[in-house]
Amino acid sequence: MSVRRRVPKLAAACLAAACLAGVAATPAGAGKAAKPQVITVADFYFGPNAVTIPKGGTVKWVWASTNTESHDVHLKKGPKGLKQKGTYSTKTTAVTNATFKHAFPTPGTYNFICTIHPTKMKMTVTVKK
Amino acid sequence: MKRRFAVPAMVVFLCACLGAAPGAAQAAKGKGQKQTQPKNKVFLVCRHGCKFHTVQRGVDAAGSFKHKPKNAAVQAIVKVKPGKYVEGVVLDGRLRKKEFDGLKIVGMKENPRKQILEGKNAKGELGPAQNGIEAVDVNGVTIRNLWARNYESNGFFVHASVQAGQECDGFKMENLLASDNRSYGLFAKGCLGGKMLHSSGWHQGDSAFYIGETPCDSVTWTNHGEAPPPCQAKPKWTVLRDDDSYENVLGYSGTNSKYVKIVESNFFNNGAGIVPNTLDSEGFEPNGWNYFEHNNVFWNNYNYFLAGTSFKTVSAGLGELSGLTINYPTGTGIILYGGANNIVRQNNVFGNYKWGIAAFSGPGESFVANEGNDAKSINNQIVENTMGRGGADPNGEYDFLGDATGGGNCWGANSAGSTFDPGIGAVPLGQIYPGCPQPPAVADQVRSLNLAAGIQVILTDTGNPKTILGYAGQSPPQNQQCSWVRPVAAHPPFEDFTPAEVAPQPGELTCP
Repeated sequence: MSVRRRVPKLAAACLAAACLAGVAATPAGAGKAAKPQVITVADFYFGPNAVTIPKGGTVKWVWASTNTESHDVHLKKGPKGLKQKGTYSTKTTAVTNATFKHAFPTPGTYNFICTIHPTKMKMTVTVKK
Repeated sequence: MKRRFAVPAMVVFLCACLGAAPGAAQAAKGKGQKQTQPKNKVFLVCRHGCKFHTVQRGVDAAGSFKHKPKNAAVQAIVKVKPGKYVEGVVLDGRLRKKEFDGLKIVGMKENPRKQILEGKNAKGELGPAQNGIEAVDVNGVTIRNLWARNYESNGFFVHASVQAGQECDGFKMENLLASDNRSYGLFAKGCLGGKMLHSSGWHQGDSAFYIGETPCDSVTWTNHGEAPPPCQAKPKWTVLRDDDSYENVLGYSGTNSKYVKIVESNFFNNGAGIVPNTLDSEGFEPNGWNYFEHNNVFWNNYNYFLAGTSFKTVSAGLGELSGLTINYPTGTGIILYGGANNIVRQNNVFGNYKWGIAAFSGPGESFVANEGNDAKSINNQIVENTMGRGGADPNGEYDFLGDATGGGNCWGANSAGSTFDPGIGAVPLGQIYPGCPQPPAVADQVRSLNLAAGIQVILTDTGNPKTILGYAGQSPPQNQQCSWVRPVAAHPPFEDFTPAEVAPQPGELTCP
């Protein structure tokens, strides 16, 4: 489900509710972003290791509290012509108590690894058109 | 430095002897100086009154300065004045407009306690600051005279961002302190060669010193096959010297590390002292080709599973065996876990309540201890070690444990009266602990499992603490202590060290 489809429905519902209640109508829910897709960064996997999100969707990586090892999130390969590619990777590593969030405005396939454990920790984000 | 001054001095001397004009000599000296005179650019950091108020700002400025081609030959030094710096410093060698190779970060006072990197309340990119200093893809970085404490991850962390390594060569960590960091104190991973010198670490949830995943010449290297090539044809060594490690889960840990020399250091009051190991979690298995020489490894009896511990282990276990969670065996001085071609020589090992030096395999052929069956104990030499201080402070159960797996291992010329774990006595001691030298074994031609000796595991009694896996799999884990042996009522004094143990609370130990 894309954000574009959802927002008009939410706005319409909100407007209708406001009209029925006799209140001045302001589409408060219209700008509300969809919840980010949460990925767990654990020893030694990303969970889930493949997600599909709508264009403009957000992914949030959350490091597990049980980790003993350092991990990062590194974009190994993204769609052609992707702008600001460097921002899709963390600059630092973390063991726990860490989060990294990024929006995906460009459709395509994004392959991520943990550079500390590149053979074990791989994942894909697919951004639909 | 010595060479630079010696050459011009010799030129002056020779010119004078040949009767050359003093001016010519001066010109030669001047020319030589111009070519070789080091130029330093100092970036001074202090809390108040300096251009840079944080170490990160000083580091960033140095990185920008060094990025300019005209400054390529200039040595950039970030000098840190005494004070407490609440931050996590990052040197990202992948940045296009920064150059951190060869950077020195130096506390101005020799005493590292004067320059503190504080992790408590420090913020970083991903939330709380994770490392005191993290250097990614930086060659030849030097870090000196600093204390990193209370970080979410590690104190000082140098690593490569790609598995091929070669991007963090020749790091130097010197005169550092690391304490109360969640995982490691001084940590290098994926680097070709480096140094950790004159440093101390305590209260780490894993190890105070860690060398991980030493890269090989080929990313596809393995120790399998009939005649595997060396990992590195011309090894670049990592040296740990004059270090102190105490009250950590492990004094030293090295997963899949190679070409590491640990010498003239003290490992005491940890859960276990020196623990090179082979695990699936990192590349380039197995661990091996290391030297451990002239170290004092003693009193490693810190049962961090007890409530009264000063620090907590971050590990939830190394794996499972018949439903038992395997942990590192406490009360042990030196552990070679699944290692190859290690040399353990002339160490002073005493007062560890379980074993002095243990060498064993991960039975990957029958259990999921190691995928690919890489953790085989082969070709290790355990020689000329002094065990138990001549009987004054013996190692508890036995001085030596070998699990009769692998091959090519040998035990030779260790101190008289040393004791060897016989297991169930079914295999002669001379067969379990052959003398040196032994013909080298090929990993694929030996086994990682041995049920005959009863030292590795007894299948009908997997929790038997007399076996290495049974002991490591004790449940609850603090019960490892139940089978400790304390041969003397109290450790005799050793230099200026003091034993540290955790007193169990009533009911905490449920010994059978």
